[in-house]
Amino acid sequence: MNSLIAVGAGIAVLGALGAGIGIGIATGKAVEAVARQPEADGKIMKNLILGCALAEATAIYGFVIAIMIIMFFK
Amino acid sequence: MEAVAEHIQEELNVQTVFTIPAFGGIPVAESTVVTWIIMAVLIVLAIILTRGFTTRNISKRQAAMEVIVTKLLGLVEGMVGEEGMAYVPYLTTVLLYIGISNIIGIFGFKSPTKDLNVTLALAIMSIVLVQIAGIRAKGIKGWLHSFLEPIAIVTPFNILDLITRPLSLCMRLFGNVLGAFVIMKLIEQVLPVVLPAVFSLYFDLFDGLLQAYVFVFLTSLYIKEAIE
Amino acid sequence: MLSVNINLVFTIINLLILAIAMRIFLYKPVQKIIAQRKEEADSEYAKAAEKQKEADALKDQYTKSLKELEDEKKETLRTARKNADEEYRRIINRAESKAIAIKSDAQIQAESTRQQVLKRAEREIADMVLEATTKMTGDAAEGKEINSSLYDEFLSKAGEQS
Repeated sequence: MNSLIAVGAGIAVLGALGAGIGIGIATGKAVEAVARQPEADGKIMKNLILGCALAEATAIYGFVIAIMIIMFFK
Repeated sequence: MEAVAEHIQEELNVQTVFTIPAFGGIPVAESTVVTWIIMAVLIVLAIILTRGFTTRNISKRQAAMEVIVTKLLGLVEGMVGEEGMAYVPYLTTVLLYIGISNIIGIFGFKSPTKDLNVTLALAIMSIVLVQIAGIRAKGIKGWLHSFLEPIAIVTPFNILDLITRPLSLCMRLFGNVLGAFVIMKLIEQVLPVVLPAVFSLYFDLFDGLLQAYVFVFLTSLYIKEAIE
Repeated sequence: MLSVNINLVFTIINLLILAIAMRIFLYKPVQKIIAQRKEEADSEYAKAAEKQKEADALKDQYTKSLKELEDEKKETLRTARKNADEEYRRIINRAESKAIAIKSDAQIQAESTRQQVLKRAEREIADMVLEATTKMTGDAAEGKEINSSLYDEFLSKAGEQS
């Protein structure tokens, strides 16, 4: 039973993959935009940070689900 | 390893500080007590720092306070827009509260946002605020009608939004604070001297403030959308 | 750890109290001070603009009254000059007429004096001639009447010639 719980928790955290890829692509585009127009880098930075915080939420959901699995199925 | 796991699990649970001896013992958790402490500090600071304001010949303290308050209010007003001016004080208060309670880990207290009750309370109040803003701006008929926009097919999703949005707000905040907490405790177990401070700078300060800003930003975005 | 209990309600109450307290103690004083300062600045500006307008109106009034005085002065000068001219002319006329009168008077008087002098001269010449002829003839009482009529006739002829 314990191993299944562990496997479940492990799979739940795999959702962080999507967040990592998404944030990586977003940061790449942001750097490109700054290279194209360096004087707008304040606004671009702000939007980037906001977007990253929102995208990271999905990874956090995975983490929380994993914790809940471990806690509730003890 | 067992001891570490036990220790962490112990800390993850929210402990009851005292019980009110009424209605069969209402447990008052430590998150509530820390919230009281934060409230007291904020109110006392506000009273002390706004003492004796004058219109001319202002002291440095008054100038600093004016700049801070005006900047905070302006930040939230920029997110909500012109029409939502009435909701700006509440949103700024929420910003201050979440920001301070995420940082308070540095001072040795347990962060109140680590408790699911607190984040759920914040999320529920946000959603109620958004719906009240919608009703006030459009009237009850207009609010009910806004569920059908933009096409009638998306009505189930609109109704579902009433549940998923607060859930996502709550879980985002809770998960971030919980994750930061767990990682901090693990690092402390490994190397309790230098590393915690460095990582604390990222997790506690940067992440905590960012999550507070994101929470208020999303709420004001929903309000703007409801007021149109 | 993931239990939802009465703390939910507690937190909601706490949040509401905190929001109201912040509004009373923090936002209201700061916003009040800023509004007060803006109002003071606005009233100062309004007062300054009003004073400016008043000053302009006063200046206009003063220039107008100055111009009026100037006009009055010119008017008075002109009438005074005209009056002086008339007076001058009148005096001159009077003097002229008086002079003409005096001259004619003098002429008439001179004429009559001449006539008188002439008559006297005639008489004296007649006397002299009588005396001379009397002395020459030596006869004083004899032929006086005939001589004087001769003398008179001679004198009238001399008078015609002169």
